[in-house]
Amino acid sequence: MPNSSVEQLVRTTAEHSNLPLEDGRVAAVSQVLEVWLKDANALSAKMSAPEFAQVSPITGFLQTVVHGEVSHEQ
Amino acid sequence: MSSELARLSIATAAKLVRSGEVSPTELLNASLQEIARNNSTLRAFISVTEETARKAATAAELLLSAGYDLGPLHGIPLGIKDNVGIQGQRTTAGSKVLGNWHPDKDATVIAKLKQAGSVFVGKTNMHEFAWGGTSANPHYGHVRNPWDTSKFPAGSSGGSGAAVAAGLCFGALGTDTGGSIRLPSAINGVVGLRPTYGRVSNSGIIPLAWSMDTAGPMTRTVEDCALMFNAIAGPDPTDPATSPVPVDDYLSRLSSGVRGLRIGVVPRYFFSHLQADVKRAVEQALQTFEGLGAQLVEVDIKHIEGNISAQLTIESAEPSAYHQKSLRERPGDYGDDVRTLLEVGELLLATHYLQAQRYRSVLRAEFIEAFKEVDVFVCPTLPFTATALGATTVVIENGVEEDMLSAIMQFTGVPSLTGLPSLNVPCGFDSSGLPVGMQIIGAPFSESKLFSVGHAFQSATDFHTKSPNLGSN
Repeated sequence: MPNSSVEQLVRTTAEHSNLPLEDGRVAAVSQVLEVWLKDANALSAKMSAPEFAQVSPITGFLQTVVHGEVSHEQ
Repeated sequence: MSSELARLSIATAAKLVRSGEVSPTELLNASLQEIARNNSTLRAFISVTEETARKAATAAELLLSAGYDLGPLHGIPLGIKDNVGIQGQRTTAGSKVLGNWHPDKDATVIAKLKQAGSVFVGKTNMHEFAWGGTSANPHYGHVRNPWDTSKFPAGSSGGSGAAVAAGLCFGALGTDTGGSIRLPSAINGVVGLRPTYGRVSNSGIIPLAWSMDTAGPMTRTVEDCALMFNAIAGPDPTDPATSPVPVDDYLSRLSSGVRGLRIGVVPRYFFSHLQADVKRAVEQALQTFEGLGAQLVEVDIKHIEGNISAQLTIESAEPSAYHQKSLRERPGDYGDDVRTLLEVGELLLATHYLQAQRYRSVLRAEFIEAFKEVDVFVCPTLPFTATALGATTVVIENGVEEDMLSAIMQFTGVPSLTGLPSLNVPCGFDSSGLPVGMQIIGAPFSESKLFSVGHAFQSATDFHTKSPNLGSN
């Protein structure tokens, strides 16, 4: 049985995200989200440790030179 | 005879085609006969495209007779997962949401396979939009496991796995985000490669999670897997995530063996929570490698815990962004399980997503560092064998029921998050005769090495020669 505060979170966030969720859906989503949030919070706490302060997300990208816009001369 | 023909390896079938002993149309007839015999039970194909396949087989014959040989896939019947677009053919991604969509151009992988002369027999069934690991599909029927049709085939490329195992096609294309090629390959007893992220184009494939999606081959032997990979690997200007790193000839080192190879094992994570039969089979495989001259090296990956949450967060947030419009306009067209996951993905915090992406950097760096000490890692592909069709929980140890999605991605998620290539190779059977698979994980762009390791194992064992007997189900 999902925590009622999670159900409230689901209901409110869905409403403000224009995501239509009837009551039956709120219960189904809350049941999964409650477990996942707990694990995601634990991972966030882990990644907030000082040893990871310089770590960037893996989805950074490598910029490439657009021909003609940047001089290739040193 | 037709059934025997349908179960040939691609490499053998290609030789017979080249020598003129068998024609592409005969190979196609063999596949179509197996489909007619078994697809109503297995539900491996959503659509069978006999008419276009016959035209392609005839064209392959004409080309060969005119002296044009397109290589080892010339005239070979393949199945294509139904999230991969083929020009003019209905593509559903296992969902009702796309309706009667017919792409107006080929996915890049399809164009490459056509250039290699392949014949597509149909589109394979899958977990809806690839968002799940069971291939329980509410719209096109649950795919069944050919080794025991009361069991699931895993997923999301479950139709491809079942079709290859049962001889409905000679090989198939799958896609893998959190394990969707490797899981059904392991559960159905076939070979499947998740390539290095960016090695194969995703252009024209319906995305699940952009930062983890890959496409790859599923076959009955490692050699066949390398054959198919040769045809599809490489950069693509229409997919900016593909890498300019030059491709190998993935067959060139197939027989180089494992003598002197350093195999990394991570007992603390990969061998601590799994069914006893799976553990036994993979440990025996490690002994086989040792017997062939490889050396086992125990390695600890310090921050490996946390990967399941990272996967679930990324693999739910990214699809929810892709499906945002459809989820608001036609939520009832999604199956219940996928709809729930898409709704959950809308409600995670942006900081959760970004911390998960930061975690990937940590995990990847640890593996890259570990590759200074080892050449490959070997571990189970998943911690259990095929479970009941439609089950949403699974028992791994001590009678405790666990959530299927979290449990099934325990071991496959590591290569998915790190972008490393991983090859599933069948390595045994449980006490009920259900297949067990192992993952061989390599450094970026080391697919040739994975193929040589897998081929060495298949040269020393006969697990890959066993076939399911559908008549006994």
